[in-house]
Amino acid sequence: MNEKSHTNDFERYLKDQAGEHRMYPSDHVWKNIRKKIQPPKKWPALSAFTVLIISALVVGTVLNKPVPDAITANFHFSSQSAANITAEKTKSVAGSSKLDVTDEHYSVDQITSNTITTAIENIKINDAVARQLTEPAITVSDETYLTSVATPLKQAFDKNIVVEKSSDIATIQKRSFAKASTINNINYYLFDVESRLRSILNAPPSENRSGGVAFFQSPYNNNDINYFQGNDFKVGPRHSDLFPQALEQISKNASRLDFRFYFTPSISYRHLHEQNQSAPQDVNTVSLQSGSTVKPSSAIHQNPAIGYETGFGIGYALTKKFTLTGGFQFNISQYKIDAFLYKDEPVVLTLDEGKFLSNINTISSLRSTPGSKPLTIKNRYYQISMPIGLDWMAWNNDKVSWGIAGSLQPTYTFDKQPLIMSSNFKNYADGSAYVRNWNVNANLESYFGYSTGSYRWQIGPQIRYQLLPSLVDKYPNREYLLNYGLKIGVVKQLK
Amino acid sequence: MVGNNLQITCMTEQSIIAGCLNNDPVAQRELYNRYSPKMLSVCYRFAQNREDAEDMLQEGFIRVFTQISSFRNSGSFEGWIRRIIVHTCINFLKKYKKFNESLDLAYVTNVQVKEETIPSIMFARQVIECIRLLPVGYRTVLNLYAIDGYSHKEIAVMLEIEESTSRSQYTRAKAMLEAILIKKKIIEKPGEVLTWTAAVQ
Repeated sequence: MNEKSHTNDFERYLKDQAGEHRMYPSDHVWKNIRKKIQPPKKWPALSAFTVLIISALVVGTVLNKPVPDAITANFHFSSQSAANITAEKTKSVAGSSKLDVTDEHYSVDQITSNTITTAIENIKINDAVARQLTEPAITVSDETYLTSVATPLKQAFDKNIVVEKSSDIATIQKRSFAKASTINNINYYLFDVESRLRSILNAPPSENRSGGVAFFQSPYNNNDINYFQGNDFKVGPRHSDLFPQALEQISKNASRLDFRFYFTPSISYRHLHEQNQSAPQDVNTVSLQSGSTVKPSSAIHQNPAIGYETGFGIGYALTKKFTLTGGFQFNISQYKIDAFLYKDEPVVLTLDEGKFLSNINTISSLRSTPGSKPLTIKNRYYQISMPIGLDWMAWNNDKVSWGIAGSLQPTYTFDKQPLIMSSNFKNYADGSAYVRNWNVNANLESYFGYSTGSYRWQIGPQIRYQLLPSLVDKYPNREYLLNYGLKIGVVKQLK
Repeated sequence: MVGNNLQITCMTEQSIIAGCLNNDPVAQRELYNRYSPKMLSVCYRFAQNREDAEDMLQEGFIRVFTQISSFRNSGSFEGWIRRIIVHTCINFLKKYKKFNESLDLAYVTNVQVKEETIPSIMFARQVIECIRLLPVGYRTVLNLYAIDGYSHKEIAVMLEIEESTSRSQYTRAKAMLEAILIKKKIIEKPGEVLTWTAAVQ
């Protein structure tokens, strides 16, 4: 009996001692567990980021590509003399029994007869298609007018192309014009020439399927139809004259857009809103470390740190003074906290669940009050945002400008591992689970700009403020991030 | 704003379980925070060192979270967690250790035990440290039988040894631990004034 009692006592003794023992695991244990049990977080911002980048690239490429005007700009008055052109043309024809039909003909600095002959050479007349094109769908109401238009054109081609004795072209021309006794054939021919020229000029086809008529009805041709007759088309119309409305529209739209890129080093800080002190005091009555009624601002010693933001966007000029802006931005906001290393100890985070408070027990080795070893911790937030704003250029001349801009920035916070205050403000604990994913920033800036060509360089002060607290609403202490920065940017006017 | 008339409560065990069943990170963290200190202590009794103990704890809690749907509310939730943790520890040890080893009590003389007077507040930790001085086979059986409450029959199944082996291992472990505790002046020799009963008291 004694032996049994002794054994029971021994076991009970060991059990009691073991039952009292506690050990606090390292932080990495929970991190590893969390990785295993929580599926990898989807990052919706990544999709948004990808779409935005691709959109920006597409828009930038489309708006920056050589527009038709860039080509037609080369159709200005040629500096080459008619003699030179004729000589080159003769040389070209003589040097090659077959015309060299390549794209380079479409990119020369002027329209020469070679260009036209090349274009015409490319025209493989398909009788069936020709018939279809010249069927009643293509009607000419005014034969007299058409004849008057076609005759000088025929003369022009006779003079400048057929006379070249280029056998292929001559054959085509002669065959074509031999049959040009009928209005339909002339109409077809004119339409075909027009469409080829339009193709060369990279312009939209005429909506008027009567083709040549529409082409020659342009005001330019009323006055200058004989340009076809003179000097091998040396002097051609500007493309913008040929299609003034379309180009004007393109040019007008394009000039309203700009691409902007910027970088802003900043001083990051946070504003702590000492909301309602009743909550922490209540909390202290149940916290594991009661007795503290200090205010956050007095308990915490914090310092600003360097933050950054960089981004790009598109601007759309609503008026000469106001520009609507939108884009994509990456932010790093951070601040420093003075803390003290201490042994692992239990801490309480109190959350306001609406109708009641819930306490989350956790462990921390960091104190806000003096402990064994002082150290500085950094709370850092990585964010991506999509600012949408308005830019008011208050004053400008040819070179210098001054303006004010502001934006609202829907923001997604990722890679967040902040340390947050315990309910009694004595400890800092991991607050990653309570960070608000989506937030809204507001930005206000003033800038001085200096223009060099199509670029405008800008510099000026900026302030960015976080409109919603960093942490979820149920965490009682409100933290608002604040950034004072110097924004450096460049704006490129898109053509 | 937090009103004065709000009721202050903690997350209940049921809400934690419900949250974990819904894969709620807050509930999972709360469960971990609540039970990990005790469970790490359990792991530490079985492990060779703290790193091994944390590995055991990590593996055990992953099993807790992934198997929580199998908890039937038929017993204590902590007991259910403890059983998972203990089995995890045993499986961990099985990979590397043999539980059939038999050592003589003379082993104690080779164990480096610093003679010192220990404040009573440190007894729990010191007792645990003394247990960890035992050879792994002895230690495991002693932990399972004396502290975690398994029978020799269950221990035999768990460790894949004979039941008689478990008994003999335990007898030797107990004697060895007693010698260590006396040497550490945590208890006094039997027959003297301070016995186990006195130590408990």
